[in-house]
Amino acid sequence: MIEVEGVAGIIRAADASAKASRIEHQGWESIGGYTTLFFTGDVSEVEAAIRAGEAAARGAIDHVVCNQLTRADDAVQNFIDIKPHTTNVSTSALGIVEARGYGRHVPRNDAMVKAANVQVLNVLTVMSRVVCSLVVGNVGDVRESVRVAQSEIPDENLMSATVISRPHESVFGLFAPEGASS
Amino acid sequence: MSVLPTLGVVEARGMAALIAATDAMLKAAAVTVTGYHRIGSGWVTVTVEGDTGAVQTAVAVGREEADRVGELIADEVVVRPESDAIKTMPHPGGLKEHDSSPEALGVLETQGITPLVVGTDAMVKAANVDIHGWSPIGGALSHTIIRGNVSSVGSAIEAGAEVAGRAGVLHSSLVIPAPSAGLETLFPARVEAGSDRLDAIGILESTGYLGAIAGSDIMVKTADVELLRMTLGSGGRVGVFVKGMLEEVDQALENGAREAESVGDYSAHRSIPSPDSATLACFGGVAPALVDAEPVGEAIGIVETRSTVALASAVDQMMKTADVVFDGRYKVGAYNTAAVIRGSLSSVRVALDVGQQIATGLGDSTYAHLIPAPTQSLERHLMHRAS
Repeated sequence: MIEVEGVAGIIRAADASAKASRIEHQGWESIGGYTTLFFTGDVSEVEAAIRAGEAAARGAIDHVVCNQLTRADDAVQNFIDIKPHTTNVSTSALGIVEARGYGRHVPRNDAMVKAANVQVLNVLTVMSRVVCSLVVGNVGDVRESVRVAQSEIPDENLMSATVISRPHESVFGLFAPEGASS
Repeated sequence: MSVLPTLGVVEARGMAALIAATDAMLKAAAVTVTGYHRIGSGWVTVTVEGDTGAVQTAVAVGREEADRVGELIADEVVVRPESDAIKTMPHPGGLKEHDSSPEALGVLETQGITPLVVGTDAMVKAANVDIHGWSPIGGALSHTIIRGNVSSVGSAIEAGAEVAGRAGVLHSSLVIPAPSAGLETLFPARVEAGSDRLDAIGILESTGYLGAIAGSDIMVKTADVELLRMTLGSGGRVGVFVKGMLEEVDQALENGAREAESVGDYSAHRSIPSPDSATLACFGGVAPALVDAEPVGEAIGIVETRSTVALASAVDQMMKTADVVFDGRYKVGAYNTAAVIRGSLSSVRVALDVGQQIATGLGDSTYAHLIPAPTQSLERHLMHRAS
């Protein structure tokens, strides 16, 4: 399990853990401000996933809590609210921009689409004022789009802005809308 | 591809500020409300659309008004918005559809549920006004909307603000003598007032689920009161409503508050003698909200903390350590989350010790509490079973 403030951190953690180890993502949930990613696998694989996932999450946000459970009790399943679903998203890069506040999000999201050839994949809100935009496209376009969001739209409430190259496909089953395609 | 109309955005902390800003925008220029967004912590946003000039005028006026009544967070004008950027707005709409009315409008906004309930009761007792419901918007803020003729709304808000301020924190109050058409999309339709009469009700409010459960247990065991319901407010606040004779209600609240304070995070309590039937209808009526609950064990244990990793780890270890049953979890909001277990008194005690230790190591503000013999009444009001 990896828990972060906001949601950008577990998106990065989901990607890094899936690339670094043989684990299966079980889903995620939010308690209003904090979100938690759940995954399963052999003990050593889960350990590797937590190492990689935690490092990636810390690249996005300061507040990160991790733990692993050996032969977890069935009760833990009750904590997972959003289970992986099928999507048909194919992209070479994923841009993530997370900030507190909705008012500034609207022009920033618009500016991201105008700045480069990217598609808005999803906008996630996890309460506690967190609004997170996900954009997809080729690496150059996504970088430009995130750069514009970060530097041309100054916002003291910006939490994180990152680009993931070649995102692992399991990320979309967790964070894209169900049935999304690109 | 068709060009979308210009979009205006005003975000405020507090619903009174947002309603005032929206009313001013609708009166200042030819714009229409296209969305209402709630993202927690009391931050609320309205979006409007129209010609660029109209939207600019509206947003300039709305910004001023939000700032005057409360706290302005952001104001933006987006010319030629990209449809791709707009269509993915989270929870778009959320606008209510009901008839517009020329009647005056009042908003009473408080921090916490307790001052709102007593303030709402004072409003309906002070003047002939209709209630249009109450809503929590995060950050512990909640508000009640009233309608009526200008002088009634004015005196109701004056009375409500005074009483709410004495019972807790009044955040804002607002009177709009002649609301613009379109403003009603931001609040619910009129609540049908019932005809219920009670001697008294009491509200015990805690931050978190644990204090509410512990307080409820003690209230029904130490005074002749009946639980009506537990209600989730905002900012992690949970309100417990009880009914009974005034003396009993006061006794229950005193004992419940002491218990909630000693085991969890107590916030407030207040009794209302002869509550107005409209107040009762607004906050859920006199019929108790019940869940069909069969007791699974003789004791229940609650662990509450500010981390899912901490709580899930605690539950896992509790299940492995003692012969207890997992009864459910509850998300209280504002980072708080709780889990409930059941079993024999000794098993629950052993499990809670382990659970508290693990949760404390991983999460903040961890509380654990044991209820040795929960009453049937408490069993039937537990919110984690209803959700």
